Amino acid sequence: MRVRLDRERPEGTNDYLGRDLAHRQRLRDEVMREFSMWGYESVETPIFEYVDTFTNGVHEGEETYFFRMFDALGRTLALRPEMTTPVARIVSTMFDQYDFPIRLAYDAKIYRSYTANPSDPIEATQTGIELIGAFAPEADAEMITIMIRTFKRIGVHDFVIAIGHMGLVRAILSSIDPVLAERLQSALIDKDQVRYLKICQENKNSINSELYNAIVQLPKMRGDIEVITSLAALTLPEEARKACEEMIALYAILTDYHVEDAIRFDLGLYLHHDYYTGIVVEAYAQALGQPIGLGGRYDRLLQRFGMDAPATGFALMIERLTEVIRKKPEAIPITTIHYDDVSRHEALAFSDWLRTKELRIICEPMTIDRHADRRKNISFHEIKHDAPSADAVIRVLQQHYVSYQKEQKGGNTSC
Amino acid sequence: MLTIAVAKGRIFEATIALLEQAGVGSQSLLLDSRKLILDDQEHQIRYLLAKPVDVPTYVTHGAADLGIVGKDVLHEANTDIHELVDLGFGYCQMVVAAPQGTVLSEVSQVATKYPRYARDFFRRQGRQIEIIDLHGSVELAPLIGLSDCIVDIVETGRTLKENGLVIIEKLAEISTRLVANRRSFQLKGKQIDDFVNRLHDATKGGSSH
Repeated sequence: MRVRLDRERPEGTNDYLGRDLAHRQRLRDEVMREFSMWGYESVETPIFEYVDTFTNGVHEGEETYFFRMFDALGRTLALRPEMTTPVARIVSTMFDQYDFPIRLAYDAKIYRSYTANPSDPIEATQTGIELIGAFAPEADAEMITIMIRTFKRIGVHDFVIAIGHMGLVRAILSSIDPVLAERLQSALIDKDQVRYLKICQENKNSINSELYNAIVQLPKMRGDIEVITSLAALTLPEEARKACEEMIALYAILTDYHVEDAIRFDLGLYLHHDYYTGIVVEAYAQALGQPIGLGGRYDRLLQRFGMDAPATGFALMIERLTEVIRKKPEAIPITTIHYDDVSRHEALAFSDWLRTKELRIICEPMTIDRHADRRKNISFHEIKHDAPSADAVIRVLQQHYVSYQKEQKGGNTSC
Repeated sequence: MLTIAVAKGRIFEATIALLEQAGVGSQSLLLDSRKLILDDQEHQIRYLLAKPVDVPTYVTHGAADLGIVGKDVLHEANTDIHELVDLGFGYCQMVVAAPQGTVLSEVSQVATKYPRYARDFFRRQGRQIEIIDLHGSVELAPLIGLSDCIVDIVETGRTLKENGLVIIEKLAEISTRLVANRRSFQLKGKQIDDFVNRLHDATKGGSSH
């Protein structure tokens, strides 16, 4: 039997309505509001770009999961798999260095045609910011603090921001054979400490003996700032020493923001994308097994679009946040006022007036069958009737009606 | 409190012995019950006793903070979790086996419980061969002409021998691993590090004696 698809939605997508939608919308609004408080301006970009934009951007060699289509001239378009690249395109074409630093925020759906896990969504919502033209560690500290403040604003309790440093790891591994370094990086990306340790042990002789212990211990180096200070005490390659100093400076600024309790350093945190150049972050909440936000510094991306600028940013995953924050907003009630031929004129005008008082009103003829509806149905006659009603909603509307009438009279005399 | 999903089956008894030896689990509690959830008050650990293939799922979703499971199962699940320690037991090998005289370059069908291992191996050989998914007694397939060969784990090789199959290629060494959920790895970092260190010490102690 042929499966009917006309009544299904594509796998990996979702419909939202009612309180679920209100919940999502509230979170997105609150997150964007926090970003706005920090001086970030919203941007909106097309849902698709030329595929070249993405392959030039952060997705070199990752074209397999693009949703592609063609425009009328046969050029290939792709639905955006993330927002950092479109923002980089905007910044490099619509701004110049006099505008630095540039603070931009977005709230957008993103698409992947293929995900490693079949239950992962192909359509998801990311709300995030990019801070372009500002150097570490002040800019990174601002990012991390905004992330923390946003979680507090929307009511995420019991969360932690893990902070790693891609540049630091690369610098430490730069002292060994590049092929070996790449194998170790790949084990870090896969979070496979067993493989990492095995590669180290098998190649002990080709690893600088002074750094061997530091390299072996790298994925286990996590905790508070002592992790960084004790690493900095070793004899490190110049770049690695600088990166340690950057982390220590970052920590000092985060302390000034009073957010140091919400962070943990984790040198094993090594993200999949090689466009990250410096500090990287991942956010976790107790209520969910997967990260709820991630980001980091990408100082070389803008270069690819013809503008040399340091940059950092992060994105929050809205669908995951809706799972973390279970409390949904209360639905705002709707009242239906029914009229008949005699009362229609006045009922429509009164309903209009009620809406200006921020009441949700449906006004429709008595003949529409509403017996199965959960909404409050009231006949206009009951409101107009002088006798006080036992029903609270009717009593309120009666009071409104009295004020309405007064206003009408007052309005008439003044004309 | 840490929640640990433990794979029942092949590696279960060795797992419990190690937990007892590391001083983080109680052998009597874990062996004497048919319950699926066990709370070890003394060590502040909750155990979930699960089918091996389900352990990576529990850990990925964060229903368990940690999991103890074979690398064979882990590799097939291909999921995004931390692989922390090689626990040094439950050793076996992932192999290609076939009736005597089979030439690897001529096989065109493989029966297996491990499609990812099989696909990856033959792809590395430059071959995209037909994979027949089975869930048990894989050795049967070549005997009845369902496939030319199998990809399966081998501990002693006895089952292969009894069914007239020989190993024609070794794909990977398998052992038992400790894995962690990504959220728990960060939010329960200290507890997990302590647990890892104790298991680490116990595995070292075990192998040196």
